Parts: sequence; C-alpha cells; structure tokens
Amino acid sequence: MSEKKQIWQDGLDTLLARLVDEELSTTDTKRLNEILSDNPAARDHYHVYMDVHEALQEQFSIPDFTALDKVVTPEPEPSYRRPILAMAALVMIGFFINFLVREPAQPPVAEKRAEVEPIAKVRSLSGSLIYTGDRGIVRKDLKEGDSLEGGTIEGMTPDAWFELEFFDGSIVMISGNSMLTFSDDGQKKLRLKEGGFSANVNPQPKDKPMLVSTRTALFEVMGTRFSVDTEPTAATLRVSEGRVRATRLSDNLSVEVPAKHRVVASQDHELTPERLPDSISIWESRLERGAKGGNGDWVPAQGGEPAHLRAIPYTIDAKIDAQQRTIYTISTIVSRKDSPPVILKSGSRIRVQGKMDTPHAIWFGVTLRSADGDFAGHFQIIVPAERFQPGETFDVTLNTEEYHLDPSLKKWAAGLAKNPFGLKVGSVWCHSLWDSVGLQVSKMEILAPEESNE
Amino acid sequence: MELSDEFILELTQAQQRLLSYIYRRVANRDQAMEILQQTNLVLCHKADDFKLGTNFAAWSSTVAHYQILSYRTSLSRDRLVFTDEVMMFIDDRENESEMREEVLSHLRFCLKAMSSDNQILIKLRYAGELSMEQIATKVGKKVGAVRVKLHRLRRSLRDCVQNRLQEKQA
Repeated sequence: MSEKKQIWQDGLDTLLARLVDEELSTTDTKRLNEILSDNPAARDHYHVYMDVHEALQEQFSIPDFTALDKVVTPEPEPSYRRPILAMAALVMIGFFINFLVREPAQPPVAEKRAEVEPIAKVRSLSGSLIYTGDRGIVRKDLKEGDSLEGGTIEGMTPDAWFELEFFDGSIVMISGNSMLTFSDDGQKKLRLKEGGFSANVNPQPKDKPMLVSTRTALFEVMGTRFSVDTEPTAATLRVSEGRVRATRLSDNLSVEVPAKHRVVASQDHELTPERLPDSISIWESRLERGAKGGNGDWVPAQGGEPAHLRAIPYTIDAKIDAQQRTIYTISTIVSRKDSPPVILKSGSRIRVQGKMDTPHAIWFGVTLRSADGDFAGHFQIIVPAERFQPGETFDVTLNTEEYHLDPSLKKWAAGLAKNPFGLKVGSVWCHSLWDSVGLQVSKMEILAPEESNE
Repeated sequence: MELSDEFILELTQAQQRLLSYIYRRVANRDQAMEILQQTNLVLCHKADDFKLGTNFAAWSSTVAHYQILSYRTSLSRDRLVFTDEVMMFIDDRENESEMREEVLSHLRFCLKAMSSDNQILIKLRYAGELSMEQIATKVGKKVGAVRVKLHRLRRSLRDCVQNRLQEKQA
C-alpha cells in the first residue's frame, strides 16, 4: 500500500466511524468530502464500509416501518385497502426481524400528556417477552399483576407465554413467537401481527364487539372462546364456543363461524366454516420446503448438507437476568391451519436430527395447547452434552413420558397440564443456554406410539 | 390510492433496501428517513405505473434517486453531508442490491469468528442501539476506549468481509 493511500485510508476509516456514529464535525465533513472527491479507491472503500455497517444493522436491529406511516395512516377514508396496507407493514415486521431503521427524530413534546388509564392486568407469564406501551416505552420486566394501559406484547422465544386479563374478565393469551397489540377505549381491539393467540371473551357491550384484526381478516367477537393464528397470507380462526363473525379483507366477504368450526381467511381458500378436523399423532418438519413461522435461520440444502434451521440468539434483558445472557433457539410450528391438529399420545416420541459445533446440553421441548387453543404448558427434557459429538450429526429420539413441565411455569402448574398427552402440539423447539454452540436442526419428527414400540 | 396486496408486499419488503440506498447517498439517518417517507408516497401515487413481475427494486431505486436530488435542493448547503460532486460519485454504483445479500452472508461468518466479548460489544451497539456513553457504562470502560474498540471491530469486520469477497472472486 502506498504511503499516500495509507494516509487517506486511516483518515477515512476514522471519519466513517464518526459518520455512522453521528459524531461528524464540520471539519470532518469537509475532510471526508475531500478524500472521497480525490480518490476513486476511497469511494470504493466508503461503499464497503457502509455495506458492513448496514449489514450489521440488518443483522441485529429491530425493524421499524415508520417511513410507511405517511402512506398507511393518512386522513381516514372508508377503504378496506388502507387497513390492509397498515397491517402489511406491521406484519412484515415479523418477516424482517433483522431489519434496521433507526427511529426518526421526534419533535419535542410540547405539553405533558394526560395520564393513560390501565385497561388490563398481567395474569401470568413466563419466558422472554417485550411489552411496548404508552408513548412507545419498552418494558422487558413485566410481572404478574402489573396493570397495562394497552400496547403491544411480543413473545421473543418459543417458550414465551403471556396471559392478559381485561378489567371485564375477558382473557387473551399468546405463546411462543407471537406479537399482539391490544387496546380498550370502550371497545376492545386486538391486532395479531405474528403468531397466534387464544381468548376467552366475556359478553361485550352491544354494538361494541371485540375486534380482532390480522393482515387478511377481521373477526368480531361478542363473547366466546376462540383462537387465531396468522401467517403472512392467511389467518385461521377456530371457535370453541359461541359464534364469531369473520370478514376477509381482500373482498369484504363475511361469514358467521359457529362453535367447533374454523375458517381460513386467505386468497386461495374458500371462506366457509369447516368442522374442526380430527387430530393426528404423527408429524415431521419438512425443512427442505422452507421455514414457515417458528424460530431459526433457515438455510437451504447445499452440498451434502440438508436444509436446516440454525439457532438464533435472544439476549435476556438485564432486569430479568443481570448477566444479560443469551438463549440460542430453534423452533418449528407443528399444528397449522392447513393440517389437522397434532396430538401427543402416551408413548409418542420426538426425534430430532441436527448438528452442533461444540457439544453442549440442549433443552428439547414442546409447547402444548388445549383443544380450545389455550396454552397448556411447555414440556421439556434436557439432553446432556455427552450425547453429542463436535461437528457431527446427531439423531436423538426422546421419550415424551420423560418430558416435564418447564420449571419456570411451576407457579401456574395448577392451571396447566399435568403431562403432555392428549394435547395439541403448538411447536417443537430446542435451545442451548448462554453459549452459541452452532446448533442446527435438519429434521424434527413426532412418532406415533406404535412406531416407537418397534 | 388503490393498492394491490402484491404492491404492498413489494413496498414493505423494499423498505430496508431503500433506506440503505438513500442513507449512503445522504449520510444522515434522519434525512434518509424523511426521503424514504417521500419516496414511499411517490411510489404509492405511481403504483399504477408498476407492472407486477417487473423489477420493483430498480424502479423504486430510481424514484428514490430523484427524491434524493429533490430533497438536496430543498436543504441549505450546510445541512448536507456530501457536496454535489461527491454525491454524484457515490451515486454511481452498480449491483448494490446483489451486494447486500452477499455481504450479509460473509458478515455472519466473520461475526462468528469474533471473540464473544467483541460480539457483545457489536450487539450492544447495533441490537441495543445504545449510545457510546451507555455502552461504556455497561462494559465498565471509558467512552473513548469503547469508541476506539468499535472502530477497530468494524474495520476488522470490513477487512474480513472484503477478503472473503475477494477470495470468492478469485
């Protein structure tokens, strides 16, 4: 490297660091322009630096679609397209979890805002959750009994679980990687941005049904038990008791969904209530077809390596874990809208194939739901590091009889399942605690008891 | 403004790419956000001009390009980071979209090769979006030391990514 290049390169690196950290002075700006103007190589250098900076943002930061605000929340119009657009922006947050956009500068608050009244309280919770409340204040330290004024609750890991009780006694619950916004200004409004939730709703005031919106559908609830799961192009409503009116937003078509029925609101599915399907007891992940929902960084098959999910990190907030340790987690959704619910039976076994760079104890688990869609518990088993070899594929078959309730749910054990059998499997998952060990999974299966006895 | 679902998806998916495109041309995050908002509005107004299946990335970048030029004319010189000449030089870059994916995949590899302490520092800056002062408090070091360390880490990541890109080309 020539001496001249060395000089501008060192200077440029420092200037670029200040630029991305927003600490560029007027003198720095002038010098930056001189270097970039005089040296074509410096411009390449600039682009490479920005490539890395933006890739870091994309890799780590929380998505923000505020630049769509002007498009999605202008003056009210009686159009169903606008809510679709708004919801698309919000739902896409789930898709682009690695995206970065910094919050735009906010104008100073001119006057103190009125205190916001709480509308609900936290009934129970576990796992990693983030709550964004009034004025965008983010909390990761929710506790049982906390009063909330409305906002967005987000389950960050497969083992997350959150139950909210409105002041009229209606209960909503999310589990796993889900994101739900809730409000109550005399009429309860929920917006499911990602994942799923279930609810047990007490009778609502006349003409003010609970409104549940997803990107593709709007559900009006007067008082009933039901669950909703959403995907980018579809929302599935399952009604256990009572009736719910479902409206598909793309064509405004509505149907009444009675108890023990479900409806799928999507472009490629007829909007007709169907009886809830019978259950099955076998299942396998088909990762070669891509990853739908769940947690993990999907990698397609390449070379001799099958398609797989790589564990992704979630760092626990300092208020919950002073050491701010990280869980490295993988999960896949099992019971989906387009297939019968998968039920664990006594004797069912769970088979997981994968690999890890460094042997480490792994937590294998399932998230279970009752037939109504209510959260029924996380059951898990810990497999010691000795069962794994560095860099070699592993193939473990786990006996669900040995699974036990997640100890963090002990406080609520009385209201949860005593064992994992006879319950719907929401998701299967695995994770390593605190250490990134290069965990990846290429296949997960639920084997029926008769197969396991062979 | 009647927008199809497909258009909405394209637009939403394009947000990060467009922000990156604009940011590196104006080098100011708040200005980039303002331009992105304007770009989104123009894209929605011109939605009928876009034919599904054609290149949304190229079309939206062109719109963003003109929004940048328009925005620059509306600001006083002292609020712009780059001169017109430098902006023109920087604007002249091909294959930006393709590069993003490639750089991201190399970056993941390079991050993995870092020590866990260094990874934590990078995460605090990017995932936590903490200020230098906040990071310094968290890791128990002086602000200057954190600034220098982050500078070195970015440089080392850049070198790693660049080496891998060059290896691939070779």
